[in-house]
Amino acid sequence: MSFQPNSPAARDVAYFLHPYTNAKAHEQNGPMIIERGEGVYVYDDAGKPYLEAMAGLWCASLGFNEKRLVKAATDQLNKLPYYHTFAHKAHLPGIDLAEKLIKLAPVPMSKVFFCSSGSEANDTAIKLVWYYNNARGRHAKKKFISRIKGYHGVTIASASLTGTPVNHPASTCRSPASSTPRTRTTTASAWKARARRSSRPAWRPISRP
Amino acid sequence: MAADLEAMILEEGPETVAAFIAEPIQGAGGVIVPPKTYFAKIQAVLKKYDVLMVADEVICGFGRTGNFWGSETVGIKPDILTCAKALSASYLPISAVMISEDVYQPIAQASADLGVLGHGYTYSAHPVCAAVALETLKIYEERDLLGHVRAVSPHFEKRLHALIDHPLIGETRGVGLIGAVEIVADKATKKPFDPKAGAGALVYKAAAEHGLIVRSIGDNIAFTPPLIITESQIDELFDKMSLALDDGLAALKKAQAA
Ligand SMILES: Cc1ncc(COP(=O)(O)O)c(C=O)c1O
Repeated sequence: MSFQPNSPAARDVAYFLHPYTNAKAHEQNGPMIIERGEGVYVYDDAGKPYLEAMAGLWCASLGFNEKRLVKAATDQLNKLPYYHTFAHKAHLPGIDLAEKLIKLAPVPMSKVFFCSSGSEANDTAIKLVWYYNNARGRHAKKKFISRIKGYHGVTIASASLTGTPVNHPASTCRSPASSTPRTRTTTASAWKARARRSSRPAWRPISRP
Repeated sequence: MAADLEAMILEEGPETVAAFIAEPIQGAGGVIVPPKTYFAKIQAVLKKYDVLMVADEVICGFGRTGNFWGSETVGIKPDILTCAKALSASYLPISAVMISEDVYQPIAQASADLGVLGHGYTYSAHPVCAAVALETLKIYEERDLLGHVRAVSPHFEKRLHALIDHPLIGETRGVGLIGAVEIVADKATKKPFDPKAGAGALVYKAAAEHGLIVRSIGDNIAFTPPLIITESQIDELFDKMSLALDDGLAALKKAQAA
């Protein structure tokens, strides 16, 4: 397909490497450009509406134009657009959210650690579990068992938990040099090597209802 | 299944196995709903060998499965819970890891011994993302979104499972407002299409032409609409899906004949 010179589609194909996309097919077919949203609908750049039956990536729970969230973001941007939480620093939105989550938890929970994505959250869970077992003097207790077809993210550690072959860098990096992560730490290497193996027999496709 | 897990833990050595991680309902793997007693049996084994249970609530959290947490739907009692996505309705990126007191205490002590917990992101609890997440949780409560999900999900499930009557559909799965259908070449034997036929991708494309965005996972088509969806919008969703399946069937037949 040829794109109108300098059109958004042409520039997308020229400059944008898309996640979870067949890059060669993308060069041929170009992007689907979404321009705006309203309730459960999104609209493409030709104004065509789509009922978004996936809420984006299983996520946009309140649809695509919740004004209260725009206001909450705007108010906070005006008040304190950024601050961190290292070294004893805190801010009210963080404190309130941590308290709220602990109150909502399905079982008694103690503390909340914040990240920016699902992958980072699962990476953090791995690290905290290692930290926890090191602290208890159980230095060998580091392996995670995950399930075939489970999805836990794409960062190196969380991808090791993810049970779909396409997410394992080793399955896509053909060169032996690049298929072996070089940044492995002792604990990580023992765990990673096992994790791939371990995820297998734990999971038989669940008997279909 | 629990016996398999126990065998694996023993094979690896219980002193080396730290945690088990699972989504309450597998999402991106194709919307796979566990049998009723699955997690009870799994967790009995984990307890026996001092293995932590990590619930990945990134998709299931905040009402998706008809309970506030997927863990409640499937009977998980997590030591650690991760969540994201609907935490902020996805308007801004933020995720959270919740840990139990038993997990926290040794970590806190180690951070004191070492002088610091050596982990954290520049954007951990970013104030604007946190403010949007807080407002999201407020909206869930004020509008009783969980009540809404419970009110409309029987209709969603009814329309979802009714797709089994379509000649292309071999199986339907789902609970609450998460569902999937599986496209098969032969309904009786559930024989799949040759992956080269790209049946799932064909239906995905046909759906888009009808103004419906779904997700194809191989030959599974998944649905997780915004939780605010109404009954009439659920009808629109599945009416469009039926048209897309008809188009897909015609295209697959044409390809087979050629
Ligand atoms: C269950 C689950 N865990 C983790 C992730 C990873 O989240 P992210 O894409 O925000 O890194 C996803 C994303 O789809 C998910 O569905």
